[in-house]
Amino acid sequence: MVRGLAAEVPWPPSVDDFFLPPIAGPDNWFTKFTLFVWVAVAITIIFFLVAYRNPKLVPTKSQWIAESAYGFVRDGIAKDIIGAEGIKFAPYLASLFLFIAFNNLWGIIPGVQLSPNTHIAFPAFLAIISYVLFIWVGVKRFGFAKYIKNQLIPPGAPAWLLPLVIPLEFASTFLFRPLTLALRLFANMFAGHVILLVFTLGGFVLLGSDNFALAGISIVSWAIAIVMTIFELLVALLQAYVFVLLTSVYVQTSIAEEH
Amino acid sequence: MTDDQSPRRDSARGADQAYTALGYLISGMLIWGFVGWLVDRWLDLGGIATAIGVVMGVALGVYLVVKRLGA
Amino acid sequence: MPNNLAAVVLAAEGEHNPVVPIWQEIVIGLIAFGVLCFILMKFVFPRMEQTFQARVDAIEGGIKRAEAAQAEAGQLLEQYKQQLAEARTEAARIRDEARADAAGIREEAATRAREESDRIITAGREALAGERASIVRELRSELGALSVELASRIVGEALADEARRRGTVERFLDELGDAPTATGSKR
Repeated sequence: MVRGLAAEVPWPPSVDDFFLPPIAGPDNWFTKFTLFVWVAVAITIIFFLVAYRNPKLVPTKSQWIAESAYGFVRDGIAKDIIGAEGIKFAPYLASLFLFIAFNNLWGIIPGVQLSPNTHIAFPAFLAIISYVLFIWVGVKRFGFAKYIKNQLIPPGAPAWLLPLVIPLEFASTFLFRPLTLALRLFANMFAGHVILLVFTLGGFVLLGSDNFALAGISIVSWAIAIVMTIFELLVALLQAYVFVLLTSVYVQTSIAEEH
Repeated sequence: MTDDQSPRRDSARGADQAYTALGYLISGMLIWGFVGWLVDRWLDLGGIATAIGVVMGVALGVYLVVKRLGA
Repeated sequence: MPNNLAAVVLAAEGEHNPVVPIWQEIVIGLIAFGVLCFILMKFVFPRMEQTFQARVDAIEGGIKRAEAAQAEAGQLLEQYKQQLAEARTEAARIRDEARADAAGIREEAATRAREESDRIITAGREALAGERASIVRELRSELGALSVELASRIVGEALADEARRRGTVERFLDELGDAPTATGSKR
């Protein structure tokens, strides 16, 4: 029985574990991933609408939670990084934070343990939106030519250094920013899922082994899986924070006056 | 909610500067390392140009970090 | 050709490159994220900003109300002080006036009394003088009448006792003659 279960466990974990067959319909329109995204969005929207249907000056518990989530992004990120101007970006940044955080949390929900952000598609389009946002904000503020000059030419750099510096500035601002933004989130979620798979499935594999001592170690393996789940909770929230933080930093550097 | 002096300010500032600095260093390494690697391939120098490129990239990255983040 | 394409697609699906995005997921993700952003940014976060602002207003409003009350109290105090000062000066003025009035009244009464006494004295003197004059006048006319009476009596009656009569007349005349000269010299 146990051996049969172990034989069914796909081992070692592979990339294919991340690609589940569609639930219904053609292609990839309705998969577990898109379902998770929809559920995460629905939960977020319902929670906020319910918590804020009747706001009071002295908040109720749920209203306080909703306000804290928004206030955290508004004051802790937008206002901190961008300054007083940042408050007008706060609603978007808060939406971004909630979207990433709730989707990341699928990675540790028992029975699911697979975040939609383990598919590069989701981090990628979020990174593209941030990319378009910070360029658009800068161009709107300074005009295209001045914005590009601000971004590519560090103030006070000697002329002979410019040919060396400009490609570096260009690459770091316009190539690596969106790439790292998307890849950081994707890789963290992907790695988190792999770690959980390794320790969870590894426990089954150990349990199914002929060696009695090895079978006992499966308990340890599962314990580690539980600890890693808690760790993944931190990672899920931290990565949402980092994504929003970096988006704010990029917006801030776009609209910063050169001094 | 209206005060501008948030106690979190320093940590957020620190985090964003750290990411910017890291970004410049890695970008410098990758970009000029890549150019060096291309030169290697072209002239068949056996890795010397790549090494020079990486070192130069890091140096430029440090320069930009100081320039952009320094006081 | 279609077969070829299907084979390629199948091969790609078999490989499952994790760094190649599934475009359907991008579309779904964009729509879902768009819905989330739209609802939160339209219906939730603006109301949160309103609530934050209302809280700030409530605090600042409280301070403002306290300041207003304090200002009003200060104004009232000022007003009362002013009124008190006015009342004091009014009282002082009234007192001064009263004092002045009293002095005036006394003065007036004294003047009037003096005038009255003068008038009475003058009137007394005049009355006395008049009376004296009329008495003198009366005495003069009476003296005449008496003289006439006396003369007639003297003439009418016999000179019975000439000596006695003479003596009488002389004594009478002496008396008469003394009286007017005495009073006249006295004046």
